[in-house]
Amino acid sequence: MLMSELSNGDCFKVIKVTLAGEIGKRISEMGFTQGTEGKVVRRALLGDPIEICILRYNVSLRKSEADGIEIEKIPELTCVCKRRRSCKARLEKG
Amino acid sequence: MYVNAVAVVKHDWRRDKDNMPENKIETVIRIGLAGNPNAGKTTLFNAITGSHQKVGNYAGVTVEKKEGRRQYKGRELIIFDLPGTYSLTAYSADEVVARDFILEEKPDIIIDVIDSTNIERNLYFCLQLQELGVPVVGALNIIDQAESMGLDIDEELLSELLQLPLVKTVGAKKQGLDELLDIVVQVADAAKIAGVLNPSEIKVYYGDELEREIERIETLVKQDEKFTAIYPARWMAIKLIEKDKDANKKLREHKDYALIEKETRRHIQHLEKHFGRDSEIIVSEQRYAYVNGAVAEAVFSEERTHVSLSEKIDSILLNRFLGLPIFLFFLWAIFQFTFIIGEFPKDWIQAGFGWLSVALSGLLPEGLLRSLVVDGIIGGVGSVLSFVPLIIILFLLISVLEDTGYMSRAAFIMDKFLHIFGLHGQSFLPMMLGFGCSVPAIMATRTMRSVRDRIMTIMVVPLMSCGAKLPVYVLLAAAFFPNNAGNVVMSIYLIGIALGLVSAMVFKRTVYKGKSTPFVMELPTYRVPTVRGILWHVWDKTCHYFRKAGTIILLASVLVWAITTFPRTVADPAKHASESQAEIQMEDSYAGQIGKVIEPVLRPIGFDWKVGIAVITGFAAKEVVVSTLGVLYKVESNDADVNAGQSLGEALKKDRNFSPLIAYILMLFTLINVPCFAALAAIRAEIGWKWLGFSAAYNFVLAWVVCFVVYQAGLYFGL
Repeated sequence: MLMSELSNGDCFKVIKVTLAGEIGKRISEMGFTQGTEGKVVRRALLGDPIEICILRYNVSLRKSEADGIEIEKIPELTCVCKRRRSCKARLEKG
Repeated sequence: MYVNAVAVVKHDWRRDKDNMPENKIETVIRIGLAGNPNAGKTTLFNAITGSHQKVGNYAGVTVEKKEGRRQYKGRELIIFDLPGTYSLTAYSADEVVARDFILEEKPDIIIDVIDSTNIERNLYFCLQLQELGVPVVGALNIIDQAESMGLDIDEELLSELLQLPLVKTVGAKKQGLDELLDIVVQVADAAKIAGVLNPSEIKVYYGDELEREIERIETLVKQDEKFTAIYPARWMAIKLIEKDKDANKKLREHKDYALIEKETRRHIQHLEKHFGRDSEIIVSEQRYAYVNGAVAEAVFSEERTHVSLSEKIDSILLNRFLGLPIFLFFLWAIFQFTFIIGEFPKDWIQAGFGWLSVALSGLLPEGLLRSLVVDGIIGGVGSVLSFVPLIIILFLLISVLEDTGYMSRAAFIMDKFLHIFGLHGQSFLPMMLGFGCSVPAIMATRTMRSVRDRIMTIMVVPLMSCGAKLPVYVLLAAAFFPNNAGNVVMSIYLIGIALGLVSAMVFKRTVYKGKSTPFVMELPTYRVPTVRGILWHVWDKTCHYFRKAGTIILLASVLVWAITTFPRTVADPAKHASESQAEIQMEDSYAGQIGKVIEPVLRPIGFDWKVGIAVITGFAAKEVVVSTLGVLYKVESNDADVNAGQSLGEALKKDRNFSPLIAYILMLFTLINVPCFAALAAIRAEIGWKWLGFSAAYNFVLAWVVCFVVYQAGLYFGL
């Protein structure tokens, strides 16, 4: 599945960036690497560009760029809760 | 995997300073300040250096070079502010400047400003810095925001994992600066003395497959010691695998260039087959994997349940339907503020200079000197200064929008439309400002990251009809199209916009063919701008304008004065100059002679030598076209403007060389022709002489062609 096929609010996991050269490199450097999860936030008036939340920030991509990112749709972001205390507290709760 | 790399020296940068041999400690420490955009680098730079700054340009490129100084505990710190970048590839001028500075100038140490709220991407950049063979200290900046977001960074553990000294800072509140500088001094000293942070020992672990290939290339690169004295072998090996063109160019200095190149190609082929993707992407992915590993260990985050303030703001400002109207409202407000409120101080300055020229006229004896001082220099300096209020107000507003983070949202909203014409979302604001004045509009392109987009935008801006051209339209439209003046002027504006967009499309297909730049743009968290930060921006830009544009405008004004003043006509200087003498002077002057020389060029578009002179003097400032016509058509220009305009219009109507068609063509020509000196000066200051030349030539040719077509068509239809 391609990133551009997702609807607003959908979560995804990156499989790979298929764009070559500068654009592909830039996109991977902004955090679109294998296994990274993110979410489509919104689109501009004409459906392009697309705002995406990845790592811990928001980035906008043109549709042509989102076409070059293969993703897997996931129901929701994996819990990033890694703060020891709260995780522990949750574990204790069961 | 990254644990392997950690088995090196532990916290050796904290080595006791007292044990150092005195003679090896140098008082001056040269520091490179690097970091991602929006990481608070400028704020930190200002917080450290205060007002001790020097601004210049890096040789050959238009990337700004900033240098600051700071006395710290008996040491002299020289801090070089490197351009804010996301990476260190060879794709953008900013990045090449940053890495070449580090490779060639070899600063003693680098401070990497890390946006703690966005730690993975910022550390990704940091790892690349470490590979350049200079010790790096990381400032975990904006730590207060990261903590309020629920991030808990164990900086000691992270620092150990990455073999990177880290200090938590808040640039805007000046927190952690002393701790940062203490470590900087210690690490720099330690590195000098013992090579503690020997770059070859701190490695990102790229995974078995990649490491094997890196090592093979590295071994080959190491064969040339002269080469590795400048370029770290491991860095070179990695860059070659990343297919970095600039690194490949540098490799030519290597004695085994051909061999290494051949081997690299073979290794890349192998890697790409193994991983099933481009080698440059493989390197990024492995680097991120390394960062993610360390972050997973040392950074704890709470689950984000509440919607952040930024997201709430964006749900309105970037709303699919409200976004555009809100953006247009902001634009309208900027425009109103700048050009309406800015008009007042502009008028005061002009009135001040008017008073000054009257006063000096009284003091100086009539003659060349007085004419030079009053008409040439004061006129020139006055026009330079009269732009200053506009620039200050404009940049005050732009800085607020920029520092809050709204600017990238505006680009997000406008990108689709402008991209059709090969422009960028961020081109919109400069183009809008162009309707007021090209000078601040051209300077406003500084917020754009891509050089290509900046140049394209700057080339288009002069076609947005500026305020100074309006008096020319008003004069001609009122005289020749009394019933339709508004529509006629409107048509000129629309033609300008259309030509601008079409030009951009043409540039996209010719000058900048094939070079499409990625739009990938961060939408940073909204931040409350600091007063200090904004004042810095404004001060910086105003100074820039003075230095770069001021001198050239002054020179140009004197030049225009000279060509309209020389050679002197034989007239009795004791007598009060009559209008006819002024006219004769104009006709006999070099400007007049040039006007006659270029008449054959202007004939096909319907202009005679008089209009030619007006067009030439219009280079100084577009509104001068009106006053030159005034002189040539013997109209007393001392009258109130309205009367002068009316009588000049009447005089033009009486000239049989003038007709509604010619008047319209003169409007068109004024619109399109070579930008005024102030605009050209701004173009030179921003993107260099080459583009000044291109802009001047392109606009002249375009003006001529458009006018030729319209004139000939007009004649054909018997207008």
